[in-house]
Amino acid sequence: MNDLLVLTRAIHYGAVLWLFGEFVLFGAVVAPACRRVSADVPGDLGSEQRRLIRVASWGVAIGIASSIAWLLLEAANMSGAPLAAAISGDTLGVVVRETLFGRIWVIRLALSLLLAAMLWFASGNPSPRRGTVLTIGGILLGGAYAATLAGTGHAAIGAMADRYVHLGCDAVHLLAAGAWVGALPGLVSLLKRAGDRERPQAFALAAEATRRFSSLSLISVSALVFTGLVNASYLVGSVQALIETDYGILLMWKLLLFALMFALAATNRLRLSPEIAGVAPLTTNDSKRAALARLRQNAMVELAAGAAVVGIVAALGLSTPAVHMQGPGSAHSMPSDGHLR
Amino acid sequence: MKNLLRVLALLLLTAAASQAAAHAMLDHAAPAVGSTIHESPAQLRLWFTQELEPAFSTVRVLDRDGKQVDKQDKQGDLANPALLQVSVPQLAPGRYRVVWRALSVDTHVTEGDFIFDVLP
Repeated sequence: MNDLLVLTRAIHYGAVLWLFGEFVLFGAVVAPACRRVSADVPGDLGSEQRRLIRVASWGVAIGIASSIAWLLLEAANMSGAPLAAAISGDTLGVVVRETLFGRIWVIRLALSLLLAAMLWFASGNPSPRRGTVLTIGGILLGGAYAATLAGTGHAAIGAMADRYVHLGCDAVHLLAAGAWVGALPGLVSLLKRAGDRERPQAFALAAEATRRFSSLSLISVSALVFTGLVNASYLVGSVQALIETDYGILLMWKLLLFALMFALAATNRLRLSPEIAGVAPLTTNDSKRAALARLRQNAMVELAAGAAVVGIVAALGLSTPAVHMQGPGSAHSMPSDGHLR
Repeated sequence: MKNLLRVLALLLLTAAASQAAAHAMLDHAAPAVGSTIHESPAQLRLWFTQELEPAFSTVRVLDRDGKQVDKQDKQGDLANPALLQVSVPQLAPGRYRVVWRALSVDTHVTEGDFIFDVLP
């Protein structure tokens, strides 16, 4: 049951971050890049807009399906009843009406339905008005859909001031992860299309988009590090806990993968982007294309590492935070015979 | 790479600086854990380290034979979401076991039990 819950959470987190990332990629990277370098702005923007609507529709569908599965599994976890018993009768109603998780679940379902409605509205012939609705609506609704995940995890507990700081940091952490990792599938797709020698325009668009994405990922990484530090201060507690608990070890794996992604992003920004843009000395068309291909490979490795991070996050949310596993003398020693299930 | 190492070192230092909790463990209870009392209480009150979801948190009082003796009216407390309480009838002298299951607002379940004695 626990494995299934981790898998469901991983799928949901992945879909939600991907969804938000696609909107950010379109609004902050692809659309401005099109306007800057495209010879056929309405045509290129229109085709990118249609692609966004297609992938975002998948994101919303997977998000809704996985959130329903999450609710059912959570009902079994909360009630302690077998899954079949938990999803029949009144248990689901009680989860939705009377628990914080359930109330946030309803708000998030409403957000996903609003996203679906917005995509439906924007799915007609591409126009500047529809593009604006898609960009602003998608970033706001997709952002709210991602940020509200913070309320379903460890950040939901704590004293008032701590709770708001932790919730805020967790929300920003999710948004930053979405803007970076969630945007990678879209970037990889853009770079793949740029490899087509028949369409030199696609290369120019990818080069400009890469430059812009690099700046976006720099902001995201900074936000991830800062909010990660704050979150760790709430949930890890000590260096010893980081090394000796399952939670701490999972977190170390997450940091290791993050370091790999960071190194690849730095290579892309410092070495490959200048080569692609042609500002590095001795760049030829072939070397530009080779650099673009390497950047695409790096982005795919980053994406794989990012997917692994999302899996770890899904497991971390169900693990006992390291701060809680400290022995007697900590703030949480157990005066009675209590245990974590 | 040097900057990355600095960031990781900073993470470790910051992590060591403060702590908070995430699961609801029993903080204290009335009657107290393992206590001996001379008068039957009207109700049992359990204070946890985190806010609870009363809908799925339970507390049961069992006598020496394992029979449930509380009034099965467990409830939370609006003023203190970390408190769980249950009424009991006049308890005869003897040993009682309190079995609790707490669902914290971050959806984690903890379970535990303790005893107390009622003397004549």
